[in-house]
Amino acid sequence: MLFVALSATAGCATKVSNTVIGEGPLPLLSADDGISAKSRECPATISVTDESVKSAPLTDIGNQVVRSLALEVLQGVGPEITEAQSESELQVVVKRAYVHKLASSKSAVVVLSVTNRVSAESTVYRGRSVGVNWWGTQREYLEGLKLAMQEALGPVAYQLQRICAA
Amino acid sequence: MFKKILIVAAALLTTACSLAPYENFDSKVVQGKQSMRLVSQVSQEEMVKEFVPSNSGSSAGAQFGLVGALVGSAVDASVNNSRAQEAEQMVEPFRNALLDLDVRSLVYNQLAENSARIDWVAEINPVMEQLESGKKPEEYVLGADEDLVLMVDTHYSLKPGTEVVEFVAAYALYDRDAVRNSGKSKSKPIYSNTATVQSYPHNGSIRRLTESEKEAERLALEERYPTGEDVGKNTRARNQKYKNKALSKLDKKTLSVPGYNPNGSVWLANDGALLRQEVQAAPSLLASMVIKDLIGEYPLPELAEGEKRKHAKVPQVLEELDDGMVITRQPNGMLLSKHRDAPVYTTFGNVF
Repeated sequence: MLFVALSATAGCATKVSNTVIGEGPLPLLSADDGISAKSRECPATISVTDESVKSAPLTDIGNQVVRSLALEVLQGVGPEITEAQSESELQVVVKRAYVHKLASSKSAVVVLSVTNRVSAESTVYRGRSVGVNWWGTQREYLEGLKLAMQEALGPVAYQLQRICAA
Repeated sequence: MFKKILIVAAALLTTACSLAPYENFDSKVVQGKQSMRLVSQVSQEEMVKEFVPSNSGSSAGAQFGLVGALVGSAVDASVNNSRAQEAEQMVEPFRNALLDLDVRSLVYNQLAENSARIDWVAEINPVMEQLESGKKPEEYVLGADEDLVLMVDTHYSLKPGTEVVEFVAAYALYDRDAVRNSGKSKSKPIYSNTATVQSYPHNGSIRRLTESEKEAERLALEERYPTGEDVGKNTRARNQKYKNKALSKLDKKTLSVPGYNPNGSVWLANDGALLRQEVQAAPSLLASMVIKDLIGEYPLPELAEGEKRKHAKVPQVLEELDDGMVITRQPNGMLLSKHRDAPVYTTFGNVF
């Protein structure tokens, strides 16, 4: 019985994944990806705006929570984080950030669009985290959302680190 | 868990025996009310794909006592988590195909437009809102300025086999003064119902025979089991028996739909053309059904003088549309729109 229980919990692990939507070039590609030199320059500033609707079970979270999850990922990757979206070279807009319940599990999803103001190119990134809904608390939902945000912003942060370190 | 299931089952059985037959909304109960707030709520951000949840582990484990039940629950949680992960991965292309569609606004706009047909209240204020987590509708009603509150909670999903896209609206009409007078815990809506729209089954897995197919089957049976004068008496009697048996099954005979793909790739072809078409069309039909139910355009069958209404046994056909879609009222009062030859696709399979 113990063996059954132990094997059962193996399936309870949280699974994360991300998707980049669109066939166009990413706003930040490396030199060998064939994009103009100008858009490969490390952007001086980056802004994050949250346009997502907060639906249950996240209706009570503060206005700045989702934005702060994004800033945590982007902190220290290169560009200076600015409040002014219109002036920033790289604009991150959170389109969707939500958690929905699936039987005894929960799925956290983040969808964001990243626009390079210099090259006027925009790409959509999606991050997802699905795991067991152990306690159904807001803290647990926010943990899921944080993982999804890390997945969604992961490719952007990686590109920025490469370009800005060069 | 098992005990809980037994209690719920017992409660359901008791209520089923004591429930009165469904009655339509009667606008006389809101006579004199001047204003109504129509609250459209879509409490999901993107398309959901349903999956069949597992509870076999906890049911089986329950016979081994508490430890068995706990192990069973752990097994279920694990199975459900794997299924949830699979469903979430599978639905992602569907979500991407709908990324630029604002389903919440589509539903709201259609409800607001259709609500203009309501004539039993002078002023209607449509709003699009997300109720706070855990807040009861009654608490919301108490804070409204209007006399009445019509709450419409809509959700949409892909069924587990991706056969159809489903929109479901649960709606309830509250009288603010009645809620105020009765206290939060006891207040009930004046009227509540559910409307379901199951799209054209572009990825249908199973269907009933069409009339022409039934006719072809009848002819085939005539040929296979001849009952003319030229056949011997015994053979004729035997053939008649076989033919009658086969004919009686004809109305319930189903066919598997060739080309059915559980991944639902047909929905995603041409940049999700069919998916987008159905998701954009459903809110209009759904809103129309909700409002028609509230303005008496879907009357129940008339009763003879002195006759009392009984529980309906079969769905009542309300509308037959040109494209083969049929709107019915189910025996429990719920409204359903689906294709006439398709089953009702449920979380656990399909029902004709």
